[in-house]
Amino acid sequence: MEKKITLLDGAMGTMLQRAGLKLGDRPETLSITTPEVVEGIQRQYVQAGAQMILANTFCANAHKLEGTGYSVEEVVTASVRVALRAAQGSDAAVALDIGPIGEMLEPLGTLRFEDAYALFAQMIRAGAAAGAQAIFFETFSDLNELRAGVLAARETCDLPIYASMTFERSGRTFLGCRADAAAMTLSGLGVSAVGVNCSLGPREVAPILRAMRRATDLPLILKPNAGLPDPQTGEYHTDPEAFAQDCAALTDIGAAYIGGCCGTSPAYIEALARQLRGRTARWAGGRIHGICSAGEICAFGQGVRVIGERINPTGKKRMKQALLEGDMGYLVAQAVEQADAGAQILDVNVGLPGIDEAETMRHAVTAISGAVTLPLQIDSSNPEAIEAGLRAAPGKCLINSVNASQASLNAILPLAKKYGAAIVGLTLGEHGMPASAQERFDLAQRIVKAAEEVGIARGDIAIDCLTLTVSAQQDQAAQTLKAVRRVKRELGVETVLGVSNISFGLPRRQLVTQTFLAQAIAAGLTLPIINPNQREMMDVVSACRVLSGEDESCAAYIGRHADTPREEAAKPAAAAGQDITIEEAVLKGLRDEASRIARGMLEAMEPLELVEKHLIPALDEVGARYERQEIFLPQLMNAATASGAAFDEVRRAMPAGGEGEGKGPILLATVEGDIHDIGKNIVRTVLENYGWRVIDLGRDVAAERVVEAAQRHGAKVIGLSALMTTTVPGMERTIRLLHEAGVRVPVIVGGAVLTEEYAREIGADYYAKDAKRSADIVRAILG
Amino acid sequence: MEIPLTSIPVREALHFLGWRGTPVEPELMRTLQTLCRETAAALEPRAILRRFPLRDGIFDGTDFCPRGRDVRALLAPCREGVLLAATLGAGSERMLLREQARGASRALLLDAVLSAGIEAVCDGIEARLREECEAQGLFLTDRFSPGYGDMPLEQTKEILGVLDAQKRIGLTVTATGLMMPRKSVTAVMGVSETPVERRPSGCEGCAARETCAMRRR
Repeated sequence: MEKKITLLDGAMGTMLQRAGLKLGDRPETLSITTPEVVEGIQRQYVQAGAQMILANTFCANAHKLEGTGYSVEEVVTASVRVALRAAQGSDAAVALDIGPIGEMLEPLGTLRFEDAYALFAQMIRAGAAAGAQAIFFETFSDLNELRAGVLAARETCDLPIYASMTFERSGRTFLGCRADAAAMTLSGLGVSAVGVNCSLGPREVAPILRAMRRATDLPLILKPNAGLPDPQTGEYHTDPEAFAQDCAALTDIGAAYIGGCCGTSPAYIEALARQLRGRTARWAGGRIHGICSAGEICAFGQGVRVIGERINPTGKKRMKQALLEGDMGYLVAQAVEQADAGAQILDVNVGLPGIDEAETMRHAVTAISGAVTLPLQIDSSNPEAIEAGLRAAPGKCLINSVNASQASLNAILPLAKKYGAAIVGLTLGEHGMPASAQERFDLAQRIVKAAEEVGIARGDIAIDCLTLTVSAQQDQAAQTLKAVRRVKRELGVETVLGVSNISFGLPRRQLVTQTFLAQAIAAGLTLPIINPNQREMMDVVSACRVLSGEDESCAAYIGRHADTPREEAAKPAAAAGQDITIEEAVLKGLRDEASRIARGMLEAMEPLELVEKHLIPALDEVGARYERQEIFLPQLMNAATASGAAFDEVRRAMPAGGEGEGKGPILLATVEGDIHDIGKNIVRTVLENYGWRVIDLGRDVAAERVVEAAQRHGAKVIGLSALMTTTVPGMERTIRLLHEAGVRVPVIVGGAVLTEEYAREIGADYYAKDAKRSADIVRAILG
Repeated sequence: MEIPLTSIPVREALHFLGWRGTPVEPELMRTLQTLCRETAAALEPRAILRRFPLRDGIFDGTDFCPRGRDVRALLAPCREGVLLAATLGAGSERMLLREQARGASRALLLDAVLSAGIEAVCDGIEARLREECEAQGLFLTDRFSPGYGDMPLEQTKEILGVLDAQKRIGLTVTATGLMMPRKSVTAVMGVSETPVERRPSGCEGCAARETCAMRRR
């Protein structure tokens, strides 16, 4: 592949500082106050040979311009006009320059994806109207923030889009985004080029750019610093000639847009022009396929990759409840558990009657991507929900699924194309379930053809040949396996199967499922959808990797089983444990013991007696010791967890329809604008383990959502948390909205800066200084 | 700059958990020790440290002027001002989210370990700078952060702006004034040609000593 080289400009900030700009000032407003200085710098770059210059709009977003007295439209319009004047009389193009907003996006921060999108769209509208000829994103370290910008550009204007990020020497950004994952994701979004700016000098950037090369066929952007800064003075010392030579060396991997960042000046661009003018960048195509998150790539065609199936409400009561209550913490816990168990892709299915599936999908994908870095499979039959998931996910996803019916192909393939997603094609057509391997193969072929026609690469297609229940349709298992073999061999695509279905209705299901999994992998299954928390299933995968040679020297297999004999030997010893009372087990925070002893006691005792005569007194004693400062918070938590385990046994022993659910519900939230949830979560754990039912809305929860949830769930108590003086106003607003909506429910507040008096001032009914006090208050209210 | 974090002191983590010297079960102790060790190994702390000449209380070449009586008193005898921004990085936020999913108790311990971690990072940087100053025959004051005494919390944002902290170490601040990643510190120090009064270590010198939950007893 080849592309004529386009020379970019060099640093603006460095030049403005030389002209007297103070550190910490907003350089963008200079386009209005001293346009001649900005134009002068840009003209020097044009004269040096730049063929595309960036307008002085890097931070001209509404967030960063706040307090300057200028609007985004004023600054962007003025800056683009200045750049157009500087380019006059040359063939240099002017690009709208867009940098990060300056606030961290969800899930780590509080800025919402769609709000970031709106901030970018505002700049882009103004820039396009002022005559910018391209949109140039640079210096991003959050892939999702950059995705918001690229989508805003695509949906707001028709200008070409350039997307560049900043990396550390490790090849990752500050937010842990890998260079290859960035390239894989951004090329799917239809940008003209991807690359690296700022970061380091050209020499240090080389390996990062090479990593990008493996994941994209697009031309690359190279806009490095003038070497590494002096740690004492912050000055750059690489000379222009050496800089240009190092950059020129990267044209053979496809660096086609080349300029400079911090520390560079017109002299550097001149040197680049001497080296590169008229030259062409050339590179070999053949990128890797697969999916990714910002932090991890799951490459296809390199062996078996396990898809975890647990985030799906079908047949799971607790998951349904979590989805209905908006308890994303539960979904995240399921995600982390599967990641710990060895899943490499997580399926996310939130389809449930009575909920807004698209909105829930957005929440779920956002929350999950904060805690785990596995790539996601967006699983829904609703195109809106699929789009919501694709939009929110920081990376390139797998869509589960499109089928061979024309309606499905028409609805799903354009989404896959727009967001650059890979697809699972289900071998299901207009005429229902296929009966033979041949029918499955024909449908697979149809899907592959349709997908390739809209521009989805074959390497990004996976086919699901359908697992049917063997006890109901015994002949179908063989047909499925036969189809998998043909699809893999003849179409050369990835293969998916939901494995667990196979054994439905049979005794010792596990055995049948395991055996089918092994047979399917042998037939060519590469993406099994399984429950990775079942060790036996992962054992099969691990053994198959040994047999296929994927697990080199059997290292992973041996590592997996290194602890086995010791573990087994240790078990009876632990079970033998000393005889202690349930009170002691709770006081010492011994969870397994508490559970075991409670089970024993329940054989001879009514559940309520165990609670009232043993568990509550034990918890009272724990509370008293905590107040006397004989134990500290982790010990209180361990005791609560141990009593919670005993409560679980009590619930199990209660007759169905009894007080199995616990009293409540108690609604908990960390208020809007605040992300500190450690304290709130401690309160949740303590309350739950004292036997109450808690609905946890999470952190940074909008006041409106608290009101809505309080009404919907008929909350009996509301607990709000805020840690900072700056976020207590959010708490005050939440209480005010609750009162205005007529929600007359006791509100307990807590958080580091609150006091009894402050709590009353903002309208709260109770102040709890710690989790113990919260439990006391709740007990006084609910009894 | 990249900052090595070789170890996180277990005692400091215990202190952040509100420990008052009462007996701790060996298992909890082991858990904390392991967590301190593994966390220190996994973190990639980053920091920016920069010295500026002081002119009439203003950091030269910027518009930054620390507000509040306490910090002004600290800088009064100084000819140079130092700005520090340090963070445990986005990895620490992810660790917290992950640990939260594994249980509130575990998240509580990790939170304390990370708090001890960022303190250790800042102490390390301060100690190196102190040596450097002493070698030049100069004297370094204590660290003073926005939010201490009467220095307004809002100055966090100004310090981050002057140091270009988002671009250089990925440290940002939310609309509500929280630093993200949370386990981050901004601070001011002063360099003087004459000996400076140091805060007594511990709580005696702190204005918040009467109400602080973290007070050592």
